[in-house]
Amino acid sequence: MSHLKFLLAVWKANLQSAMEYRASFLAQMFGMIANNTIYFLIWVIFFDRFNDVRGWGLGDMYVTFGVSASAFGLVSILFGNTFSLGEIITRGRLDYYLSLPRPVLLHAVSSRMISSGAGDFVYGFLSYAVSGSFSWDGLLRFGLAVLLAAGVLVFRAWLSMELLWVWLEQWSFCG
Amino acid sequence: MKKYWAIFKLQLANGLAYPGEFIGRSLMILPFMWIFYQLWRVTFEASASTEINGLTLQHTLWYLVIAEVIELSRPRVANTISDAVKDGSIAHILSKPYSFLGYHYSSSMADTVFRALLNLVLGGGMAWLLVGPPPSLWGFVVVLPLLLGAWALNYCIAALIGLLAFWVEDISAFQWIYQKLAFILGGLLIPLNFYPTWLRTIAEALPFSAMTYAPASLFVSPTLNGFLTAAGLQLLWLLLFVGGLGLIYRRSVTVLTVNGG
Repeated sequence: MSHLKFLLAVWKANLQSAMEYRASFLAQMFGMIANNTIYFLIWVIFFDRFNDVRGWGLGDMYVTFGVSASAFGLVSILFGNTFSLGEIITRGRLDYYLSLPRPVLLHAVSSRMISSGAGDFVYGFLSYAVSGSFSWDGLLRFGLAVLLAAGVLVFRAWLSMELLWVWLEQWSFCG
Repeated sequence: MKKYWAIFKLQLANGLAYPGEFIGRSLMILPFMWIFYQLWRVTFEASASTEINGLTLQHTLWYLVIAEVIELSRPRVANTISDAVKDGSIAHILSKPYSFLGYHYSSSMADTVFRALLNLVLGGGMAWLLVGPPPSLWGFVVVLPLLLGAWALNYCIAALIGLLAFWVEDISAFQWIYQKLAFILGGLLIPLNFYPTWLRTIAEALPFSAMTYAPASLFVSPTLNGFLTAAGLQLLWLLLFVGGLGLIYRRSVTVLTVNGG
């Protein structure tokens, strides 16, 4: 319970910090929405040429892309340092967290919010909305899929990759 | 020229001193190639054809190897230049007896060459295992000069984006847009052969296709005419971008104010 209270306090501070530069926050958010929209054109081109690949069509791609974008966005908003933990460790910036009486990993990854993540998060839901398979119970399933993907795929997988990177750096340095 | 060659060698030696990081980053090409193989294998099966728009599965995968080598190894100088502008370290390089842009070009090309070799060995090795050897050995001869042209073009655009830091606080949005345009109009994930004709015509008229599509497609189907056209196109865009970069750089330096002693 105390961890949850701590996390809520950190997230609140992160949000206040991001809102200090409101115009920059909004520019990052809408910039990322535009970026994802352009990127998704790849799949529009692909399915325009190949229509249907083993029953998989553009609508399915909207949902899949939406889940991964929202999951990535959620982790970026709540645990922004997940994507730079390797760099934090190798540059010795973990010392700051080690000296504080809070869980080190949790504190390190949650102490940053990536503003563009809000754009990813919103884009995912927009992608689902235009997929052609929108329904209210579907939206609940979509939300659940986002949470699962955020927890399992993005958060755990990325942390493992960052730690592997630290190990490779160490190996490189020693070798 | 000798000093830029020395910077290139110095950065190359630096890269060789920390091979773990480079190898780690280059490993990314393996899952990419595996996913591309699965996607295109199923797509070719679904279309019940061994050849689509002149490309077989073997052609497509080797095309994607070269496209990924270009993208994953390209000089990433936008952030380096932007940081140098923002933290003032640009003043340190400006006082040296070499060009700021020349310094970054030599330095980033050393990283690029090293990364490209690793990516080609890993990505090419995987493609070889999955679909067999490259369609033509002449492809290697044709692609080498085109790779240099592609990276030089890439450098010019990245440096232009980096120099925007003189006027805007954050260049991320420009980088995102450039990257996505290069993905789509360069044919990085889907060869331009599979695009609708109208979009392919537009893409071929822009510099992005000269950076990715032209070298990758000539690697799988090398022809002398194709090579000369691609090289001519790259040269044309290079002249334009080098001129533009020179102009913007001169204008940037005039607005630079250096304080301190």
